[in-house]
Amino acid sequence: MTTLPVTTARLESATRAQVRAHKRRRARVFALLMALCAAAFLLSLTFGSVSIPVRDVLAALTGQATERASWTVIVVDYRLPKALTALLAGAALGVSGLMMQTLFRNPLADGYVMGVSSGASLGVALVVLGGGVGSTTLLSGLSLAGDVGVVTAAATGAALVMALIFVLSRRLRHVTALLIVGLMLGYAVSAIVSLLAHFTIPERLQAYTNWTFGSFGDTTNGQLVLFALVVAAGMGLALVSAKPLNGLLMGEDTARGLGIRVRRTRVLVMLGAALLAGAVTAFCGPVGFLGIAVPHICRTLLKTSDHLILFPASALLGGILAVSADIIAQAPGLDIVLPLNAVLALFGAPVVLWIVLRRGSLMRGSML
Amino acid sequence: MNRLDAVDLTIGHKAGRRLASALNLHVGEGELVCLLGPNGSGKSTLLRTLLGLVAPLSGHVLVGGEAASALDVRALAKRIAAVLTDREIPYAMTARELVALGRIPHTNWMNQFGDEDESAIAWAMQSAGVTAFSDRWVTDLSDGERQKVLLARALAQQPLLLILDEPTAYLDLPRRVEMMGLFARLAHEHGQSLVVSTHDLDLAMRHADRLWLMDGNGSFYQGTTDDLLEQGALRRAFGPAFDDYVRVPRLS
Repeated sequence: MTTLPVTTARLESATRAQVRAHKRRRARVFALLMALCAAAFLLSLTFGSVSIPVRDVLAALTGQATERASWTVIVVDYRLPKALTALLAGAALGVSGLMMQTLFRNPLADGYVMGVSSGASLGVALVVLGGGVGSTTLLSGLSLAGDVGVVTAAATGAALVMALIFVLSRRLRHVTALLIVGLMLGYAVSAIVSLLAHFTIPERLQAYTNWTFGSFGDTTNGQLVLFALVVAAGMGLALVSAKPLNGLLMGEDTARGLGIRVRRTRVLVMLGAALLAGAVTAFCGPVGFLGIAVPHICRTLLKTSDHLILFPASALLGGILAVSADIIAQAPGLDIVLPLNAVLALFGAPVVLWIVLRRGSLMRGSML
Repeated sequence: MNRLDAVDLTIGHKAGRRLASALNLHVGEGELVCLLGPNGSGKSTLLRTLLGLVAPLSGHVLVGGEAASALDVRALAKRIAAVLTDREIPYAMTARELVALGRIPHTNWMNQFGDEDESAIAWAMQSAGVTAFSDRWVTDLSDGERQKVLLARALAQQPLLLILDEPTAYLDLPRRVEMMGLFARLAHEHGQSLVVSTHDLDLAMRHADRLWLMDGNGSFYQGTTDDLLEQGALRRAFGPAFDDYVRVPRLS
């Protein structure tokens, strides 16, 4: 090893002061994110078709008596699973989006780029538009997302596409080729869905369309446990690939030069992102926007590309935005429920635009 | 002990032609070697073979006396650092953060930095002259500044050997002169060994301890500038007009 010459003490202390300033800023941002996350979570238990005072929400959560008995049922049986689902789904989408953006070195990538959501959509389209499962909920006019048949179809579709991508990834050297494969799969699937839609009855089409809106409110407690386990597995893969992903920011050859096993990292990252995005699609429908936007906002807020910082930040922010969007979608005080994806894009896109324009640094100097 | 040895090395692409055969190369401590040759002569392939990114057709590479093929990627990354031509510049990354990537082979899975890592980063930034813009986005830097940041990243790796593929491409003349002077200082003042491929013949001849030359027809020459001129190697690689071109600045 080359021995280091003694650097001037002044220079080193100046750099260390900078490092400390960065760390303080990061600590502040994380504290803010955690506070917002807790606040959004609590608010989502409070608001809905009936507003329940925060005091009673807390009482219901801690098993104490609420002013009205029905409030306990609403909070514990309906709103809590929904809020947890939103939190998990938002975190999963933020993290999988970051994984894919770095792996493909493409700022427009998200957890769905490999066609996972296309596969899930195809599965759901086949059972819903083609007829078969889902007839009970079809008649009741409810959203389909919680239907066991629909969840199974979505998960199967997502898993099959994942398997296909893995087989192809062994043949393809470059990640860009993989990106194109994912996009083409998406086109092929939407073509099949259009065909199915053309020949189906309006009620089924309506049901399928409702599924594509996305929803956090249809997971049963049993499904929630399964969802949480899959998300945890995906997060674990994100964590172990965080450092290799830092190296991959400079391209695959440089990553190898930094001692990173590029192929292994690619497999871990793809598997993790596919699990996260696949689980969300299966249980909540194809929830858009978060996967692309959340990592960008986090990079800007934290002024870093370090995945060990961005992963927890993206999980937190994804959760915050998903829970907030769900609160808006429930339209407190009104007797309607707005489509989740519409809310996310309608309220989310201006926020991202505002950040880009105000800070002028979101995509600063990127190759776009 | 040499920082790098290549023994009986034949390079090229598996199916295609051999770019150079039976090379015996070495780089000593604190030595600056410049690799010259026309486009397509195989400079990048040679560098990538030395780095272990491309397998040699035959022969082997020793890094710090150990066979590169026997080292795992991480151990190799502690011995050789490279700045290649196909690098990508990430956005939302400060110069300091980019330089800190050089510590990846040295840190644990959480990438936690100890004092040694911080000193290595500070030293690398100071040596490459990039301390002043440590907080700026790398995408906002000029070509010359960015090149120095990439160099600092490789220095932060604290390698036995630094391999740089055309680090002066896209830079204007003052920046080229500055970069090559920096390489010479790293070699001669800090004992860093470097192999640098370049098209800047005059700068290479002025600063390099030795030259490696690939003529594009499968021949490989090595030695000091005078050795190569005596062998007529430069003329063979770059054409007959070349001797006149070289002799003029050398007379001044």
